[in-house]
Amino acid sequence: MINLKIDGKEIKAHPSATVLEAALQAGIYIPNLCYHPDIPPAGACRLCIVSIKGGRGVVTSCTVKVREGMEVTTNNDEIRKMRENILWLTLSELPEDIDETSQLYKVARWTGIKNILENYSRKPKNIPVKTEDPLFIRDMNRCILCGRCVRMCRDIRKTGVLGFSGRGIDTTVETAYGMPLADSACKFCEACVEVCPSGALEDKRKPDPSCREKTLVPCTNNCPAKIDAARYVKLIALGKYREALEVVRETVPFPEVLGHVCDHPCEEECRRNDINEAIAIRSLKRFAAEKGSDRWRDKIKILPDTGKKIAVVGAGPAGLTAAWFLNRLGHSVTVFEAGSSPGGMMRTGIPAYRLPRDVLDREIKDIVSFGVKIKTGIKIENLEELFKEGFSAVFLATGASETMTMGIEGEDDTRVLQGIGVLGDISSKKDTGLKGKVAVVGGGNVAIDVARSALRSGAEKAVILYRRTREEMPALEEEVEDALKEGVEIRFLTAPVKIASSGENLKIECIKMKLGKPDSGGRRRPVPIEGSEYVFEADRLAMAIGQKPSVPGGCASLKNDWGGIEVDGGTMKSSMEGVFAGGDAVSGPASVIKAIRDGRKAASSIDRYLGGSGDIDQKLARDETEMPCLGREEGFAFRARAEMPLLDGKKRTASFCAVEKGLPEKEALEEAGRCLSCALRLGISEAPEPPVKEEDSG
Amino acid sequence: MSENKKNRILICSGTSGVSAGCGKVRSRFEEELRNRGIESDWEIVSVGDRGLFRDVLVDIMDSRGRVSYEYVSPEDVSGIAESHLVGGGLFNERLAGDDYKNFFEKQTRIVLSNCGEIDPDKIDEYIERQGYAALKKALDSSPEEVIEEIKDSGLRGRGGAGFLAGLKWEFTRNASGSEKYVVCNADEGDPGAFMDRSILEGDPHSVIEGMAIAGYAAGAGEGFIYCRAEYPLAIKKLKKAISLAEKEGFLGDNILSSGFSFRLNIKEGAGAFVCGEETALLASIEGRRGMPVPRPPFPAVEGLWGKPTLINNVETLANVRHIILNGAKWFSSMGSGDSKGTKVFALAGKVKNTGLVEVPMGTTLRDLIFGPGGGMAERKSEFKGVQIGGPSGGCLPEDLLDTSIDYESLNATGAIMGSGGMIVMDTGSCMVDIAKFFLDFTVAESCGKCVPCRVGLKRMQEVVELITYGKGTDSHIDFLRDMGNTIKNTALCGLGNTAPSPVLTTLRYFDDEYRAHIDRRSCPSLVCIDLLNFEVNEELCKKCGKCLPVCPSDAISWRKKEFARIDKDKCIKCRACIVECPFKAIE
Ligand SMILES: Cc1cc2nc3c(=O)[nH]c(=O)nc-3n(C[C@H](O)[C@H](O)[C@H](O)COP(=O)(O)O)c2cc1C
Ligand code: SF4
Ligand code: SF4
Ligand code: SF4
Ligand code: SF4
Ligand code: SF4
Ligand code: FES
Repeated sequence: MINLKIDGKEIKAHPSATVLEAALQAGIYIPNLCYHPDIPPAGACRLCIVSIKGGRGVVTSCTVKVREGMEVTTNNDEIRKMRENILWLTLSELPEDIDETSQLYKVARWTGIKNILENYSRKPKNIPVKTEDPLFIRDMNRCILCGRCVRMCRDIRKTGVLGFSGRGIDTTVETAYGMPLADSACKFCEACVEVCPSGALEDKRKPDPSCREKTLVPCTNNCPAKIDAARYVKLIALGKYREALEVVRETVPFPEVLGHVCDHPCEEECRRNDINEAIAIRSLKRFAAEKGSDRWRDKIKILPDTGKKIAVVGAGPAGLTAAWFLNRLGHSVTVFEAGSSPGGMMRTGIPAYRLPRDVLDREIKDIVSFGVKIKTGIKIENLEELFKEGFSAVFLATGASETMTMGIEGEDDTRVLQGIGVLGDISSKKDTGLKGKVAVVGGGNVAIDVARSALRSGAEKAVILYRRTREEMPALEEEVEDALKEGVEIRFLTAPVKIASSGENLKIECIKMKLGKPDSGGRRRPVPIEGSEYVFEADRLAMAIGQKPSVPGGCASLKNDWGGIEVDGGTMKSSMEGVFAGGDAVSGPASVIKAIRDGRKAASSIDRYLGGSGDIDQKLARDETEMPCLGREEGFAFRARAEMPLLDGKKRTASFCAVEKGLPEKEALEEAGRCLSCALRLGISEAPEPPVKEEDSG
Repeated sequence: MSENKKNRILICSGTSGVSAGCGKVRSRFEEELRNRGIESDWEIVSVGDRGLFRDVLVDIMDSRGRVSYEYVSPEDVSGIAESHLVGGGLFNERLAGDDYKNFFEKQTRIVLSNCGEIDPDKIDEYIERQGYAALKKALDSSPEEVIEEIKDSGLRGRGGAGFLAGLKWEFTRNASGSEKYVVCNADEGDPGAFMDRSILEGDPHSVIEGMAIAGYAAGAGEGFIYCRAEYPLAIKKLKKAISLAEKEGFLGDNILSSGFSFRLNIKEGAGAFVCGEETALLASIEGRRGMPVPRPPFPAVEGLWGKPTLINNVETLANVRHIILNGAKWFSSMGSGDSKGTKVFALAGKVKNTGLVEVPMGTTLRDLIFGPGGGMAERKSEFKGVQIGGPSGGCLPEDLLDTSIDYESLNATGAIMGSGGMIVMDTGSCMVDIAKFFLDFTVAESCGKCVPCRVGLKRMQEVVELITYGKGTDSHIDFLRDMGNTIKNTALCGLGNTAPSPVLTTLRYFDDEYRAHIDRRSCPSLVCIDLLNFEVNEELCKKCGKCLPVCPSDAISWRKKEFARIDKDKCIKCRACIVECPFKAIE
């Protein structure tokens, strides 16, 4: 350690520290703008000047190392005067409206803004603002040329995209030849934006200051269950598949299932969307699940028995997730399933060509192998009994499998089927009665699944009748695409109004619709066109217009107006003591990942209810210290999203084999390499800001 | 006449010589010799520039001694051949005059001693004049002894900062690392200075020898000469000289069997002024943008590619061989105080003899300007000031003419030695305008890295401009002083540290001129156009009407037998009428 004196105060500092760093550490603020703890110093802003006893004039404290016995003065009349002059110069070129949250503004306030030259009015540079690049804008009129972005990009990220162009008063920060960022090998890590003190570089989507992760690492933060997508994508890029799988496993017990069927809200928000296409996060998860080893099993720690018994009703994703975590926390968990096999919607709702059954079976087996008991064929109707049997808490995760009806004439014909029931029958290999021309009413995933399944179960033709347009379809875009490829026909703006069951087939009277005003959900409401009725003939008609929560008969009191179980969104507690609920039973038909989220929440809340900490997570993969260096790669921005290899179109409808073949290793590695490493930005240190002066705070 | 001891015709053929047409003069001489059948008696030698602007300078050396001719044009050559080469007499019309003699006799030429005397392309001529003897001598001593000698000599860097050369050599030697470099700064960005160019063109071996000695002393095995690309002739001469020195074993592996190896490369610079600043120069050699970085670390510790690097200026290095040969004592006997040896100045402006002048340190400004410089160019003109140290030097008035030329005395006045630019101004120069002129240069050359220099100089320039427009106020003077001092004290590199000097020194020594511009809205030297009113002096006007057609903006009205009149609102102050009027009636 080095001993020195700053403003009369005795200070110890590390020998490699600069005077500025030593001062800041000792709580003595020296104004600075071009300094940043993570970047090599430049000495450009000149605000950090100090005088050193025995030296001539002033020196910049950000570039001078501490020396034994040094005596530093950070503030006297002369220094203050020069700082005010320099600050005035810096501001003399900027627009008047400096972002008040910027470091520049705060430093300016601290240093003191004086008018040095009478009648001077600021001379804005009138440089066109660059808004055409993805993710962030560059407004060189606001740039103070501190060079932090340039050094970050060149010396730390080693991408070398930004540099100085022009000289003297015309100097600006630019890419080589002023090319767009994408053409300049930019990696869009936005480290430059992060360190910009002036607001010259600015996110197009401004991060929410209270939760920067939300905007900055949107994949992880848009995952309902908060699987750390950013982290495992990075691990895959590094070839660490085992660790990647462990990261997923930290949050969910269904990595591979999700890798097949997750509706991937993470991808919707992936920042790479702004450049070209989102990272194929779901496919990467499947890849990690397939390629990652079983080491996670050895790492799972089941906590000592708490002696508490918990009943979970319903062996779908919500129930099994809750069971998994509660079991890990040392509780004894029994899952009651009304059906003949566990899995819930994952088994009865999702066709095997999307989710191969061996995958589902394997992951359920894993859950059981760690101690969760699953009892199938048991329909729970009365909760009192469960409590009597010694269960201390109940988690209701009964799903939503009651098909809604349209209430139109002829709906009770035996050839009119329930969409979700059809899928369940296919899954348990029962006869569905599907044949000939099958019409499906609806626009969600179930409708698509029924139509595609119909083609695989002997139907000659499948036609979906949907009352709005493709844009409004709630089904996943890629599912619709696949269905069309397989030969499913979709009639948009069409709704059945009556079913006549005379004769051989069904004569479905349809009416044409047009889109009217948006409804409360923002989707445009379909309006029938008077007199446009026509008859559509089909052999079978499947209803897939939505499902309702399935709530045990004895729990009617827990339901709300529309039939779901009412819970507190944070704790999943229902109105009955010791009873929690989640998944589709609460929300109506949603998604596997949302059900898992509810399962996690419930597990945590139930643990707390039983006297635990509620901390359900176990760290499986060690945190990697991420390398701040990204390196230069020409054409990075133009790398296209990996295409999932699919089963041949004609072969597909011949069986229920998985359509998606999974990404080969090379493609997966490349795909993970397209990731912008958004989380890297969160690791950048904060620039030291001036203390709030009393006059300001008071 | 014997074959081996030929008579010599020296033709100055450096960049100045070339632009004056030395090539034609040379071919005319060749023709004359051929026609007269005396080719074998004479050797024509293309020597470097001697440093005096007298168009083509030709010296003839024969048994009668040496005779100098000035202003020699191709047409004069037959006359010279006739009367001098054949006739045994002199060609009086072009004989160098007293000014010429005065110019050279009043100098102490050490660094420039070979310039204009030898053929730079012939290493033998250099060797004949003790060339590479210093290298031999140095290699016979230890590096430490060489460093000691340079330290004792008191040689300071001639590139501007005046740092003790020996000390820098020692720092580089003592810096840890086995790979080290020597860099010769031949960027010479100071407009008007051309001493480095002349040395490189006229005596390249002296620099090469200096670098080899420096390399030996500092422990460097490789050197770079960073020369501005605008010096093609210097680069050509250097390339030739390096290959000759390699052939003779003065460069390359195991030099003179000493075990010391030294390779030399040339890097062409893009020509930005700031690239002469040592850290920017190193960045430029490495292929990065020439922008200064803060020191420490000094290049001697962390230089080229992070390795210890010794950087010296051309003139500094050219001094080395003389010190090694003649000893530190000899060198330090010249000069005054802490400034030893000689310094070359590029004398320009309103003096009679403009060119390169080498004088011992300690000479007064007066002795230089009125000695070799020959005083003011025109008899009528009156000395007003002298700008020393290039565009970021200072402007000194008449009463400081007795200032001794040494680092400390010059610094005390607010000027600097710089690289040796010296511009003499007469009463026709407006000092506010001069200050603006130099600011224009530094504003344009600022690299843009640090705030005081990038923005500060620009703001100062705007204010000085306002003053020359007659829009100055008292507060402007305060602003200039205050901001000038801030920039001087806080800019990152030497460019910014010195750039306010022209303003600060003119404010200090020519305050009255600023006052006149501000208080009276007038420019005493009649330079600042916006402060001039063009009027016809009716006492002088002869009503001739010649001014009428030359005015481009119809500001003049004139009718026969009437005085011309100038409409102030229309006049654009182009001066066309002033030039045209035969009676100097327009003022
Ligand atoms: C803006 C600026 C321009 C410079 N230009 C030159 C130059 O053209 N030639 C030179 O030798 N030194 C120049 N220098 C000085 C060099 O930075 C350095 O001090 C010098 O090369 C060291 O050599 P010396 O010790 O032999 O003088 C310049 C300095 C500054 C600040
Ligand atoms: S690579 Fe990163 S630091 Fe460099 S310009 Fe692109 S986003 Fe900014
Ligand atoms: S863009 Fe921002 S970080 Fe970059 S130099 Fe300008 S102010 Fe500094
Ligand atoms: S680019 Fe990578 S880290 Fe960023 S949002 Fe997309 S997947 Fe997540
Ligand atoms: S003083 Fe001028 S030339 Fe030197 S670093 Fe600063 S801006 Fe560049
Ligand atoms: S040229 Fe001169 S003398 Fe002739 S009219 Fe014009 S001002 Fe008068
Ligand atoms: S110069 Fe030190 S912080 Fe900018």
